[in-house]
Amino acid sequence: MQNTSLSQANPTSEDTSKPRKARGPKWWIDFLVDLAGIYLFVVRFFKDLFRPPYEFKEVLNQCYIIGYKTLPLIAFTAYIGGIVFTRQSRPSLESFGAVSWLPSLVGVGIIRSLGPLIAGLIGAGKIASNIGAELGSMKVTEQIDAMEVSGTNPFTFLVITRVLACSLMLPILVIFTDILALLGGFTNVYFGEGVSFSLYFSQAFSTIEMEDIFASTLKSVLFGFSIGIIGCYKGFTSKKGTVGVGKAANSSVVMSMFMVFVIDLFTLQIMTFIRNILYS
Amino acid sequence: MEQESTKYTKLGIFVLIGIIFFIFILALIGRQNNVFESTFRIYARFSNIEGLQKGSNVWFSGVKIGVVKDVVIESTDAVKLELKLSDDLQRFIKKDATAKIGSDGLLGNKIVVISGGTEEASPVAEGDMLEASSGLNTDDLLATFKITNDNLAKITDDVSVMLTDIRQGKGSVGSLINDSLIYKDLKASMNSANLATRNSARITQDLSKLVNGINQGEGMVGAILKDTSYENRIDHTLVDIEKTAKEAAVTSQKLNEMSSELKSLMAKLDDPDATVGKLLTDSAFAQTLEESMTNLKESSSELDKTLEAAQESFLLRRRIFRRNKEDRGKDK
Amino acid sequence: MADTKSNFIKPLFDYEGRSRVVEIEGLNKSFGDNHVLKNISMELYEGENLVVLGRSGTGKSVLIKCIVGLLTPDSGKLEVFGQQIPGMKSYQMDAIRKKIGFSFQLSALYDSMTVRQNIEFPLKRNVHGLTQAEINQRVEEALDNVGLLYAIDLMPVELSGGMKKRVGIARTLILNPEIMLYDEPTSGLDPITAGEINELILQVQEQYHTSAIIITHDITCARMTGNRINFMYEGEFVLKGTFEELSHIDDYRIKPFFEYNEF
Repeated sequence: MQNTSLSQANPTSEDTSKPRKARGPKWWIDFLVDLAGIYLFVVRFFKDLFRPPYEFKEVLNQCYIIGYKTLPLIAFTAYIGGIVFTRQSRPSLESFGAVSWLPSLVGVGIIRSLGPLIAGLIGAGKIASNIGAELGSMKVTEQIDAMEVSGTNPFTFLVITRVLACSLMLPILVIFTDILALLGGFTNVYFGEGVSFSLYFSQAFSTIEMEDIFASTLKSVLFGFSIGIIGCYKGFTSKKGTVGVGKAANSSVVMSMFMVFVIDLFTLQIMTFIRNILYS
Repeated sequence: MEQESTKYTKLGIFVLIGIIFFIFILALIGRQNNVFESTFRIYARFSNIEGLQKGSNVWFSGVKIGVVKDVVIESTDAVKLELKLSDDLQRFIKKDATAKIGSDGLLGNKIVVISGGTEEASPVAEGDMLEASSGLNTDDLLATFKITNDNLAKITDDVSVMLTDIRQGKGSVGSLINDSLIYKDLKASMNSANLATRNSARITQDLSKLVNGINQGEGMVGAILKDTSYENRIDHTLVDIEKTAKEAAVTSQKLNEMSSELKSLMAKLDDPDATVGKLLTDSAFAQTLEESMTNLKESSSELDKTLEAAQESFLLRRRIFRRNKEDRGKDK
Repeated sequence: MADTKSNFIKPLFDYEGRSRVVEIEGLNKSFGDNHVLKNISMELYEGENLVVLGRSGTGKSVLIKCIVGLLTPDSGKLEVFGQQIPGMKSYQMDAIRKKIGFSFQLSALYDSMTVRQNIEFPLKRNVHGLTQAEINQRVEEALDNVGLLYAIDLMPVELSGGMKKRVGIARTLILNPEIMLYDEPTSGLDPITAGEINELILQVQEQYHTSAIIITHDITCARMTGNRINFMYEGEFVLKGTFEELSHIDDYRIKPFFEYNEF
């Protein structure tokens, strides 16, 4: 009786092979692994995007967190950025005796480049770290596993909603950034030269084209998408423990900020290409 | 935990304001490019459009009424512009209106300026070709200044030589009188003086127009000047230009005087009744000639000053800079 | 086979005529060079509580994560309700998972949601066509069963460890699972709370007629809740039997578990 009840599993021979030696420096391998992982994440995003169930409520909830809750920070930064940018541009225009072109310069600078960049970087700082930390801690406390075993696809509920919300909210945040940075510029020009509000704005937009707005919107959607994807990826692949969560948050910020600049350059090239086609 | 409904309300307001801002931006740009207005097209042909581009503005009486839709180079010296203008202004643009290339400020972008047109003429129709006129060009303005000044210098030299000759009694009186060369020189001097007078008068006018334009707030630079406190900074520039204009006027007047003096001299020389001896002993004539020359010298130096002042004027600086650069380029 | 089966029987539990809901044979799982599960074989009978006892880090959690498909084993047979789990299509997997409740070691409550939202989360996504009133009723019932109805609108951070555990269990019970998997249900809890959780596990067994695998290193928990105990040592089941049987075996690998509680 004892013999049968106390069955003893056969001990299997130990696999004692040494760990493989990594070729090249470790960060390089990590980078490639991240790249592949993010690529798979993007593919999966588009695969699962149109597959039910649709978590509309959660998308709205994330829009609220990502859009509305980020607004004060971005608004403040944009306003200050506008003031500083205008203030710093003045001397170089003064040396040409062309201070009257300040609103135009500020307009072009903000709409084309500064606005999306401020929103993108602040977004990367606030949103990506938030997502990275939240999903990272959900990962290490097994909340993501819990979701999966309860028959809910965590990718649909966590990743798609957040990435969608980011892609939808960033363009709106960029619009706010543009307007507030322009207002910052106006504040400076108003106290410097006393330009009227309507003149300032018509001047600021005098050299802006429709393509600029198109490019800015395209850019911001891509910013949002990459911030969301990177934040989610880093959170999902977070290592165990509080260190892992911290690293997830940190590397989501670093990586998405880097991506913001890459996308900025990328859209610049694309828009130059499109312009060439349009005007040739 | 916030109530879901308040959360969604806040989100809704946030998105709504975002969309309103977006539309506001689009509308501002749209107004700039006439995207949302119904438009009509007319054409204008120029030999040189001075760097005008697709999307450049079209002004009528200092009001922006449309944009340049297309630029087509038709032949070696003809560029056809397609102008897209807003519909509701069609009735103000008459068939005999002219188009010229201008700029929305001395430093500003190139624009197409539609002007002229008589009340009686019928309005332009879709697809009409406007007559092109060459407009005031700062390059030309400065070039004219220069030519005028050169002319004056030449006259001064000529008269100076003549005067010296007469004073020193070089050559026989007969030869002096009969010397058709001197006669021709004198005639040429007179023509030059006349030309200088006319040019000078034109420059005076142009400058006055410029000053008036700026004062009345015409054009983009004018608008900024009127609307803002840039005036302080630009005031002294304005004074410069005004002074230049005045000086040019004085020069013009002096040139006029000189011209008439020369004319009377010519008349005397031409007069068959006048005896040679009388002409030569007439000290009054010599004096007149001397005065003329002094006047000419003064005029010349004043014009020089004017030119310098114009060059110093910051509004013109960029063009001078460009010209100098071009000159340097040619030298190489 | 029937003969061996009868040998497992704890006096109070009748295995006669019970089907096997989980069957595992020769299961292997390794992470890189770390061979975690070595040739595991076990079975879970309908309605029984099976305790998997062992030290931390011996691969107990890996085993139950393989059962719900969170991890994919390298080789071996792993059948739940007669269906092979590894290589299963995701929609089939979801159907199986609805019948399995998983109570996580750290409770795994969704931090951003209230207790109510936590519990209705699986319900809303797996049972369709319920009115809000029905949902509320079922949520309240489930919470009442774990004795935490008063905490319904609290956030997880406001709960103590034991309360979190119970809410976690309530969240899995809302779908009326047939199998419950408890991952270290009593770890990190004071003895009184741990006792309450043990009672709750028994209560669940009785009330919901679930089969359960209870992963633990707590010998008291094993004694109170388990009908059978499988003892895991370095990724292998080295001893199997009832609590009574195991307590009399003189084995250096299991002795410390019993000695710890002796005074």
